[in-house]
Amino acid sequence: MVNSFWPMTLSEALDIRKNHNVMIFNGGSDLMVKYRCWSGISVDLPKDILYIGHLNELKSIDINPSEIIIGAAVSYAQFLKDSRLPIEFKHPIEQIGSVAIRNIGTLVGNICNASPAGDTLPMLYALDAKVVIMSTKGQRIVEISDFITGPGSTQLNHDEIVTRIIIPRKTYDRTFYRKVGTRKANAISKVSVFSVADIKESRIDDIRICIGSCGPTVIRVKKIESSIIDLRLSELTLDIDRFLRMYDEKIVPIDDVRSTKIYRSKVACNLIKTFLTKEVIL
Amino acid sequence: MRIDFKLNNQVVSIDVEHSKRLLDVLRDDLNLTSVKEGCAEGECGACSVLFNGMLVNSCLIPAVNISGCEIVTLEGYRGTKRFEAIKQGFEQCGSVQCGFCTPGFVLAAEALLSSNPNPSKDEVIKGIEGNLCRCTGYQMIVDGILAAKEVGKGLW
Repeated sequence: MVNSFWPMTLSEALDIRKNHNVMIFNGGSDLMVKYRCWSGISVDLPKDILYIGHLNELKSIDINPSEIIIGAAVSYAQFLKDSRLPIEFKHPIEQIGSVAIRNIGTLVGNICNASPAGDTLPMLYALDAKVVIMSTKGQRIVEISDFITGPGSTQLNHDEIVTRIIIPRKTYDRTFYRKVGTRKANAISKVSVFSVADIKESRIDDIRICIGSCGPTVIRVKKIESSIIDLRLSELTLDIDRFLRMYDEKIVPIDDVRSTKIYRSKVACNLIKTFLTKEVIL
Repeated sequence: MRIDFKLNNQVVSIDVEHSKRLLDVLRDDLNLTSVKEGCAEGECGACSVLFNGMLVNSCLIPAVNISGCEIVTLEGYRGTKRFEAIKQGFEQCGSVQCGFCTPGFVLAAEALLSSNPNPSKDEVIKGIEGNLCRCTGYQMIVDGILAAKEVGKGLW
């Protein structure tokens, strides 16, 4: 049987994290499934557990003129209910799981779980989100693309806790999100694409295209993005196929229980094409 | 560990392991068998309960998380007027066949109607997206909830 820690404050949680070898338990929607046993038998957690999902200090969404700051224990449902947040950022979240899952699952949990199919991730990569990591020694802030290092792995150290996500506050002329799953609810993505673009005087001022479930981590190719930026829409129209071929080379999905390599590559390229032709060029 | 919480309007104190699923606490320790185990991974909604008024899958909640909270299962909910309205709606529309999923659907309907007393058909479908039924084909359940909102007008 493993021990559990139920801290009353974040600083107590950080002390526990420093002094014990514990696994962090936030909303639980992944861990309770991953370590489940038979009916009537407690979940078989592999090591001592530090519960943090109840900490009020981690439950707030703060908005200032330049940033949206989301606490680690903010559930998807709380994020969706917050009328201050832009509707475009809610599209990926409202398609995650189901009503009951969204009541307990958290954005920070989705990041720390670091699944290639994590549905918040393409958006957070596209919005240049940052992860706030705390320990008893202080805090550090890293780009989400640096934080996640591979499927299920992050650069979180044993004495650290992710306490917040910071999303730079900015509006975009175009936003696009499509998730392809087996059914509408409770589906793990086969492919997903979140993209944004800014257009000034028929010229691409900014573009970010992020693809989920098609590689070990979210795919965002800044090199291709910078070769699209500054193009006139008419020039982009002529060059779309070339850019799609460039993306096709970077998309490296695998065959697994949910889908196949070939399907994922095709669908991902089709979604990028849809974004470019239906949202950007119009 | 000792856990105190409010269950169906009564204060309850139990001694369980921290990671025991709320589903097992309710069924095995407290004999509330309206809470069904279907998939055990948060996909089917048969184990749905209300947790501080929110719909959750009790298979995904460790016992420690209910400390100081309020849990409502169908056994507690069935004494309410709102339940009578949902029951009537379900009866009118043939929303119950084998009945295994029904407690979950009733609580999903309550969670939906308490946040949106006048849902459209699409909103009802979205509200029960996390509940699976292998008998009815869902249409009768959607109709049942739409009927319940009329029967119980003013209750939510």
